[in-house]
Amino acid sequence: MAAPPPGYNGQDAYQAPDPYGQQSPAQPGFGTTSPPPQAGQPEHEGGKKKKRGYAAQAYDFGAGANSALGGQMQGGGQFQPPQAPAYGGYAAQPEPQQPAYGGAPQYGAQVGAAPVPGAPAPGFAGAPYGGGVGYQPPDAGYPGPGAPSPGGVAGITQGMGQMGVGAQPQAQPQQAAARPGPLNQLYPTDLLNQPFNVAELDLPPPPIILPPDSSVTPSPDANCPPKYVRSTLNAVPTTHSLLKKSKLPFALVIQPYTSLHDVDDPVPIVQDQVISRCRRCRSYINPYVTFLDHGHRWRCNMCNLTNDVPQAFDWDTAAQKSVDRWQRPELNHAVVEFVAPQEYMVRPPQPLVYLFLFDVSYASVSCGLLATSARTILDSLNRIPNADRRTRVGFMAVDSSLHYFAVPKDTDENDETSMLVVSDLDEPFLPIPQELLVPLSESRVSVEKFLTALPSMFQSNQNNGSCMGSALRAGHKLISPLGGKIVVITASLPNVGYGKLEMREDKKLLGTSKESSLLQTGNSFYKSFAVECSKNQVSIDMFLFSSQYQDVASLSNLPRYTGGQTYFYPGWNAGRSEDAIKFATEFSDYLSSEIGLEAVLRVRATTGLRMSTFYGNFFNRSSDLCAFPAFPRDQSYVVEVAIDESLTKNFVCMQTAVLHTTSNGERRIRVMTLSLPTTTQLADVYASADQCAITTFFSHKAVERALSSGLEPARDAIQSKLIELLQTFKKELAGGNMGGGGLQFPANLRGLPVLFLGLIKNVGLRKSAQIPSDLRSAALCQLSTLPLPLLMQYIYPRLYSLHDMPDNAGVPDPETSQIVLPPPHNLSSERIVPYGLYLIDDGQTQFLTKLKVGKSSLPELDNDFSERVRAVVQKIRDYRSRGVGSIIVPHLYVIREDGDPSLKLWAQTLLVEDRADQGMSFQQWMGTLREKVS
Amino acid sequence: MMSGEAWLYLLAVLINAVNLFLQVFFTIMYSDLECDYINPIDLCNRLNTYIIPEAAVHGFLTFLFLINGYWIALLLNLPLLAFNVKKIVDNAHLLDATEIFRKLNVHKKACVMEGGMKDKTNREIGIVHQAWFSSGYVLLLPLLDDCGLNPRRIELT
Repeated sequence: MAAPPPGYNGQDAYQAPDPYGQQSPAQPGFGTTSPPPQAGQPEHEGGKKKKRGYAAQAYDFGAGANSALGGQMQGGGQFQPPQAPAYGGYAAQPEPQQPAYGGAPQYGAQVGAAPVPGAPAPGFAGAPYGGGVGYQPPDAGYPGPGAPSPGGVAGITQGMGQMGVGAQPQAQPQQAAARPGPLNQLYPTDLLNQPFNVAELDLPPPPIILPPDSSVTPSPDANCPPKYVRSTLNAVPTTHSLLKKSKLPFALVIQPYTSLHDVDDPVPIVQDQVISRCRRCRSYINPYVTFLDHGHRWRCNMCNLTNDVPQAFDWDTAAQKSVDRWQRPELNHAVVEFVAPQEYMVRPPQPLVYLFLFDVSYASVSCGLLATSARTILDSLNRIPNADRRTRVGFMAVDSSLHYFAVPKDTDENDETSMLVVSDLDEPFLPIPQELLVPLSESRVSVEKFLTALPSMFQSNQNNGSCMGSALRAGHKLISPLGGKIVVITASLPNVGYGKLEMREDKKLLGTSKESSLLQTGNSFYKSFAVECSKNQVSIDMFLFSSQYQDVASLSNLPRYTGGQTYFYPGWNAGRSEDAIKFATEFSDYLSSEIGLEAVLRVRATTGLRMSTFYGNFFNRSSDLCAFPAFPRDQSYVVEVAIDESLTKNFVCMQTAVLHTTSNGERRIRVMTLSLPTTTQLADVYASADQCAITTFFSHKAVERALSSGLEPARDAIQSKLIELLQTFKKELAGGNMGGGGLQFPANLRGLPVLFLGLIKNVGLRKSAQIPSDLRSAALCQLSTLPLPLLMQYIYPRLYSLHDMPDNAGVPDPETSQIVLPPPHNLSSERIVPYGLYLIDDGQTQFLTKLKVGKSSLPELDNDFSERVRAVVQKIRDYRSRGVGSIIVPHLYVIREDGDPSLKLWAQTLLVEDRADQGMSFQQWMGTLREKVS
Repeated sequence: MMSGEAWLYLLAVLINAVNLFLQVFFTIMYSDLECDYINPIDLCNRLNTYIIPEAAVHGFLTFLFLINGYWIALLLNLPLLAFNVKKIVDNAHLLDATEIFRKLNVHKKACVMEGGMKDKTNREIGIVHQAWFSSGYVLLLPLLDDCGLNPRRIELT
C-alpha cells in the first residue's frame, strides 16, 4: 500500500492537456507526444515521469525570444568584479599546472600566493564586512580592551586559538580543518546601561567566517551575499542538542530577487546549458565542491558523492578548443542563473498572461477606481514585459453579472470590441472560445481603444453586487490552459455567486479573543480555489480598495497560496490626487515588473540538515517543494532548518534553487549557495546570530500563530521567546559577571528586544480594540512577505530629524553621488522637540510632523532646506540602493498643529518606544524582561 | 440461536475492524505524503471522503452501546466521540491541503490514538481479533520507518 497509488503521476496530474494545440496550429510539434528524452536523470518539478516530449522548436522559440533581451549579462566572463585581483592571478596560471590540481595541500599553497592571507574569510575580505562598526573587529586586538572575555575557560582558549591561527593561517591548513577556526568573538553588553541605538539595525549581519580554502576558487563572490540569503545563525551548531540549548531558531531568510528588473541586479548566467549536478542529492555544482582525480571528478559538498565533471567544462565542442573551467561562473559565484535545457520543462515555456478583473459596481465606479486602473493599464502597456511578443492580456468586468470582452486583432475588419454578458453565476462558461485572451502585440490598437472606452461603458452603473468569486472561477477557466496572472481590482465585498462573503466584522469583537476568527477565512472557497489555481499555474494578485469592510482576511488567501500579493488601499478615492498617484505609480510598476512563471523553489543542504518548515506566499506541493504559479520579485521567504544528524564537517552549505520561466519565455534556474561554519561552542552560536533574520523568522511565525490560534498567543509567544533567550544567555554564557542586576546580551543581538517590541506593537499584532480587521489582515500579509530590509523598517520605523540634520544630509555625496540621509533616531517622543521637523517612515506611510504650511504633497518651496527635505524623502523611496525590489510608494502625510487629530494619533503609534494605550513603553518592556529573567 | 448481545458484539467488532483498517490506511497515506509519493491535494481529496462516514459509523456504534446499556464499552468510546464531534463543530474535521505539512505530526498522532482506542474497544469486547490488529501494527511499523529512512523519491527543481 505504500507504493505510489495509481493515478498519481506527480506533475502529470497537474498538467493542462495540450494547451498549445489549438491556439498555435502553426507549430505542429507542440501537441505530439514524442518518446521521453533520454538525458541522464531529467527532471521536471514535482513529477516522476518524463513523459512529455516536445518539439525542439518549442524550446528554440523560447531561446530565440531571449536573444531579444537587452542589457543582460551573458555569461560569467564579463561579470568578473574588478576588485578581485586574487581571482585574476589565479586564472592566469599556465595550463600545464592544471593537472596537478587536486591535492588539497598543493591547492592550499597555490592559494597562499593570492593576496588574501591573514584574513580568515577569503570570500569576504573585500566585501563590505571588513569594517566592524559595532561588533566583530577581526583585525583589531582580539579580546577587545574593556570587553570582558565571556564563557570562562572556553572563551579564553578560544581567544588563544584565534591568535594562534590568526598569526599563520595559511601555514596550517590541516590544523584549521581539524578544528573549528576562529569565529566571531562574543561581546556581551548590558542592555540596560548601554541603550540601543537604531543605527545598529543597519549594520551588516555578523560575518560568515569560513575555514580558509573552503571554496574551490578564491573568488570574493564564492559565498552568497546576505541580500539574497541570510541565516539566523552564521555559525551552525553541530548537534541538535546544542541548537536546542541555545534556544535560537535556525532558519534561512531567502530573497531570490533584489530588484524588479534583471537590469538593476544582474546575476552571472551560464548560457551553455551544461548543468552539472550531483547524481544523488541533485545539488548543483558550486564553489564549495572539491575536485578529485586530476579534476576529472568532483565531490559533492552536500552528500559527498563523487560525480563526473562534464567534458564541456574543459573543452568547447562547438568551437573545438579548450576552455578554462576556472572561468565558469558556477565555480566562482554563489549566485548564478543556469539556462535550463528541455529536461527542465513539462511543457513549452508559457507566455506571460495577465487577466484583469475589474470591479464595475457602483462603489468602484463612484470612487474613480475603474477609470484610474484602466488609464494606468493603458499608459503602462509599453512597460508590460513583452520581449518575446507572446504576452497575452484579457479583461473581464464584474458586478452582479460577468462581462467578457472579445478584443479583435488589429488586422480584423470588424475592429469593435464586443461585450458578452453572462448572468449564470453557478456554472460560469466562456461565451466564445477565442479572442477573450489576446496577444498584446497583435491587438495593441484594439486594446488601447477598449481601455479608453471602458470607464464610459459603466459610468452610470448603479449595480451594487459583486460576484467576484464566480468571476475568479470564470477567469481561472479562461487562463488555466496557459496559466498566468489574474489581477483583481475591486472595491467591494463579493456578495453574490460563488465564494459569497458576509459582513462579519463586529466592533464588539475587536480586541477580544474572538477577534482572531475575523482574521481567518470566512468561506472555504478561498482556500480550495487557491489550491486549484496553484495546480493550474494561475497566480492571483489582489488590489483591494473598499472603504467599508471587504474581508481582506478571506480574499488574501488567494494570493497567499498562489505566489501573489495583497495590496490594500483602505478608503481610496481618485478624487484625492495623492491617492490616485500612489495607486497609479504602484500599479504601473507592478505591471512593468519581470516575473517568473511556473516556478518551484527547493533548498538542499549538507547531509544532516533538513528543511522542516516553509513560510511565505506559495503552496507546498510536497514536503520540501514550494510551488509558485508566478514568482514575484518583491517578496522574501523563510525556511526553518532542522539538524537531524550531528554535523562533522567544519562548514555546511545550503543551496536554494528556483526553477522558473522568465517573462520572455526562457527556462532558468537561479541557484544560491550559502556556506556557514559549524561550531560546538554555544558562545560562537550567539556571537554569530543575526538579529534581523531572527526577527524576520519570528515575524512569519507570529503571523502563522495569529492566524491559527489568535493574536494574544502570538504576542505571548514572542515575549516568552525573548525571555527564554535572555535567560539562556544569562545562564550559559554570562554566568560569572552578573553584578547589579543588569541584563546581558551579545552586542550583535542588542536590537532584538526593541525589534520584538516593535513586532508586538505592529498594527498586525498590536493589542487594541480600535483596529479594523481588514487593516490587521493586510498588515499580517505585509509581515509575512516583505523583504528583510523593508520588514525591519515596517517593524521599527525610521525617525529622521530634519530641522537639525547635518550639513551633508539631503545633498548628494561627492563620492557616490547618492543623497546622504540624516542619521536615524530612536522612536521615542523624548527625542522630539516641539519646534522640530521630523519624518517618520515605516515603508508604507510617511509622516512629516510640524510643518506650518503645506498640504499632503510636499510644498515646492524654492529654498535650499526645502530642497534637501524633498531629496531625503525621495531617497528613502530608493529601493535599489537597499537591495530590494518593491512597488510601494509610501503615502506621505503632513501633520500640522491644527491638523487632523486622528492623523497625529496614527503617527504616534509608530513611535514604538513610547507607551501606547495598551502597549508598553520601551522602559516598561525592559523592566518586565528583567523581572522575568532574574 | 445467537443472542442479541452476541450479534451486537459481532457487529461492533466488524465496525471497529473497518475503522481500524481506515486508521491504518490514513497512517500509511500520511507516510506516503512525507515521502512524496502522493501530493497534498490528492491526499486530502482521498482522505476527506472517509472522514465523515467513519465518524458517523463510530457514533452509531456508540449509540448502540448506549441503548443496550453496555456502560464500559460506552465509556471507552465516549472520548473519541467527543473528539470527533468537537472537530466537526469547529469545522476542522476535513484536511486542508494548504496546511497539511504543518499539521502532519498532529494528524499522525491523532490517527494512532484513534486506532489505539478502537483496539481497546475490541479488547473490552473480548475478541481475540485485537491480537491480529496489534501484530498488524507491529508489522507495519518497519514499513513506515523504512519509508522515512530511505526517501527514494526523485528530486526535481
